[in-house]
Amino acid sequence: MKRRRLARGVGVVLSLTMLHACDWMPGRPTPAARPVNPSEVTDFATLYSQNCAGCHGRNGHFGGALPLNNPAYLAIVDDASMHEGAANGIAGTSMPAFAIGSGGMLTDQQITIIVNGIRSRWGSGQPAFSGAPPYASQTEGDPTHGAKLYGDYCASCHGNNGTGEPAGAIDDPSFLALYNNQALRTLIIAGRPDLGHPGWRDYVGKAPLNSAQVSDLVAWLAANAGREPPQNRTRADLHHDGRAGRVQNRTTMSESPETATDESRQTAEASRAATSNRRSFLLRAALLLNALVLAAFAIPIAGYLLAPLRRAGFLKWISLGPIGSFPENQTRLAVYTNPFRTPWDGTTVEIPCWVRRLNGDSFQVFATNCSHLGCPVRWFPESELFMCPCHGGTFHADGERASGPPPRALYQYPYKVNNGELWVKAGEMPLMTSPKA
Amino acid sequence: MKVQLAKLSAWPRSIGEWMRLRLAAPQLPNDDGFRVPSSSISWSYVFGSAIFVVLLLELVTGLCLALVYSPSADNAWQSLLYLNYQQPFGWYLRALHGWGSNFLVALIILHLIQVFVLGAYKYPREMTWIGGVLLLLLTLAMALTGEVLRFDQEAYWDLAIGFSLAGRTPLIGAHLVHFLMGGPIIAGATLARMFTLHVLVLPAAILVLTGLHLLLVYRLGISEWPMPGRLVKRDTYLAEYRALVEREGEPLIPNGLRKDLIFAGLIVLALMVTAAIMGPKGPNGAPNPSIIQTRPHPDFYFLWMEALMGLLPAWLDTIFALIVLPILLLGLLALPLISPTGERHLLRRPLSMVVAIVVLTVLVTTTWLGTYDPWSPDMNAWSGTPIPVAYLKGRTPLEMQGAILIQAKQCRNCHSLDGTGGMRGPALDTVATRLTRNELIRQILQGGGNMPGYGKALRPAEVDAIVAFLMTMHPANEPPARSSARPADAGG
Repeated sequence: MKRRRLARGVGVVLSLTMLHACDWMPGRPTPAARPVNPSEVTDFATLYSQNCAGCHGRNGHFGGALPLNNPAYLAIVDDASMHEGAANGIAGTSMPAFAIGSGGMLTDQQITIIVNGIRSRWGSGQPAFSGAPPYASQTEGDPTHGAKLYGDYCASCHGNNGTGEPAGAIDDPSFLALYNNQALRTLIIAGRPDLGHPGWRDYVGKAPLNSAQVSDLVAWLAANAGREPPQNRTRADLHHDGRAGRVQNRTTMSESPETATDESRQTAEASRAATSNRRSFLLRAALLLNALVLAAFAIPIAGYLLAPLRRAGFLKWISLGPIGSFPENQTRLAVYTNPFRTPWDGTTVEIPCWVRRLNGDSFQVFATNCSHLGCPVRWFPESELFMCPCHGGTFHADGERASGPPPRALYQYPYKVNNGELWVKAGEMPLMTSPKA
Repeated sequence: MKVQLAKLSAWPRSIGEWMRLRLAAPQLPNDDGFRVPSSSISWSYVFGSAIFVVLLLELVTGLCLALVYSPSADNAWQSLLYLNYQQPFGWYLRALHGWGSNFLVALIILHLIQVFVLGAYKYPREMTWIGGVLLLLLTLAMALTGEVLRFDQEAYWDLAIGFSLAGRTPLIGAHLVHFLMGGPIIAGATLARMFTLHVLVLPAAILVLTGLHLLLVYRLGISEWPMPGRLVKRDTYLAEYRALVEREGEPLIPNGLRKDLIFAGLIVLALMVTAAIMGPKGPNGAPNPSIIQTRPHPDFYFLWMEALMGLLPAWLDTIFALIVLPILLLGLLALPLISPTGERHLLRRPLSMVVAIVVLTVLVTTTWLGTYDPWSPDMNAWSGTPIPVAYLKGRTPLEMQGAILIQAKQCRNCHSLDGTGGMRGPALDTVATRLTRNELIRQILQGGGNMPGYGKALRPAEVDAIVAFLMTMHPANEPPARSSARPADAGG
């Protein structure tokens, strides 16, 4: 008895432990693992690592582009300029636009989070750089003076007349074509402490550069720019009815055993035949009735099941909004609500499309479904390519195939411009056997 | 096993007897019941019962999930999150159901391989095999519809891929797809159809077929272990089998039951532990097609299909999916009609052996490739995967601009540096040892192979910078490639 009671007690304790153990099982989803829409991500680390780290480095420095993890830079730049650069890109440099309104994928709130995060994470130590020349140039630079300054400050690393060793030429017209004046100014003032480029006051044995001198240097560099390397290429415009009812095999009544006399046999036979005729007639009538009823029953069922096929195509003219919201020579994402819907369809009716405005009223509107197997293609304005995430298919800006498995160009919707509004004829998922364009 | 109703007493001595008369139920198989050859009491034969146990588990967990899940397109995703985070043990039941389906498919495949290897599909068990293959197809259909019920972004796009493939059927493609979707797009009607299939139609078909399958196993006996030289012949097999059972037969219950129970118990335990450690799958992002930043991935049993679609040349896609695959399936179904008699031992069936090895190798390799799908570009590499720091040190300003452009122009989405970045194209770490400067410029501007041409999107300065950077991509002790058309002392 004692052993049984002990066993029971152990069993109870074990069960209770296991019930509670489920709380800390490694497989249990944590709140942090909750799926979040990309436009609702608010964590600075996530936003930075997905959008900025590629060029600016994993920790804000040691990337190809100017380091953000540089208190000297953060001391001279204001939040508005950083926000503007991230949102709308920086013309004359490789910095792309990230705001949705400018063709990117981040909301304004997310860009603000990034800017604030950069400052709070890497901005300590800014006071030490309070004497730096201001971010924006305030004087007209003098190239001749700039040339002399170059010889004093820069030539020891970038070679005489900017042509070479040991740190590499900065007089290169290709290099200067990829850097704008503000970027040059920022680099000269803030330097690149991660890769060893001195800031405005780090030149050994030289006086710190002041704002006018920086402007002069930039002016001298800019005078050497504007000479694109010789190439004969121009920049192109930078898309049953089934009827149920089987008739069963007819069955007949089996003969009953014979009676004694011929006469009674004849009468019995006659009456049997009559009975058999009536019975088989009734059976046949019953089967026919059921067959008719089944056939009648099948009609509404078939009609119900085949309902999705009855319409002669699912196409309607749908408005994508005023053409003013589509800048010329750009491709932007537009979303329309599919008109063929039921109230409980949820977000599945928000159908996106890529709208490419050529100029004026000339458009191309592409379905996002890749022509290979239907995955959503993504437009990259920097490389002017649509890229599909599933099997690596790519398309040019006009929708033609560029590489990979897609067997044809992107599907296009017929469009029209009515009263300054862009309309497309859409409503069904594009397929190889029913393409719309 | 006819019930001797007359022999049962009208005054029963136990509840069992009372029930037996009123249910007209036969006696349970006892020691003299179902006898099988002793070589059939083998560990190789345990998979079938494990499948049945896991199937029951799936039914039970599925029923529990259906009590909370909302199969309406505007609520399904929210109900999945509710199951994960608020329903007590909801996450665990989701994990059991999801991992259970993986285990079920794996066990069915093992069972198929075992039956194939042992030649147990031959006379007179052809219908057992055909029923089994149909069960495999039904289970895969359950897996597919079940994945759709986890109605998130991945499910949405996997459906889109499936429908796009089906839409390639000539003549009826569009109508077929509209019928399957229940409308012009993937929406509430599609989810409702998948739910009906997954909860009502397919389980009923599976239960009926499983019952028939088990009945056939009972009626036709469990096949004996094959011996080389012991041929299956239509005139003699049944008599031989019966004689074998007479000679060395053992009751399946309890002798075989022991091994079945141990294996089934271990499998269920493994399933419970896996579910507790790995947790439920998803749901991932909301099923909103306007969220463009997405990368769909099928569940593991369809990774081989994804790999083949990604690796086959475009013109073979349709032929493979709509012609080759159905023919292979038909071949699998009709296997016992192709070779119903003859040798059963694998070593005397060289064609079967070769076919099995080839098919398994292809499936395993493509599934493994599908787990990390190298043919898919990494859509976030351009903005999220920086250039390795070692490649930035000691570079000139122009080369630094090239490094920036390799990010900004999305080159990293397809090309890796130091093992990071996309794998669609070749790694660029040693590209300068393979291509000269002119060859690099041509490749970038015109594309080729799986690479698009960038000519329209790059200015001459940008090409200059990118190529300058790429020309530094060679090991220190290896010189860059040079054109074979020039003398050795001139540049490349």
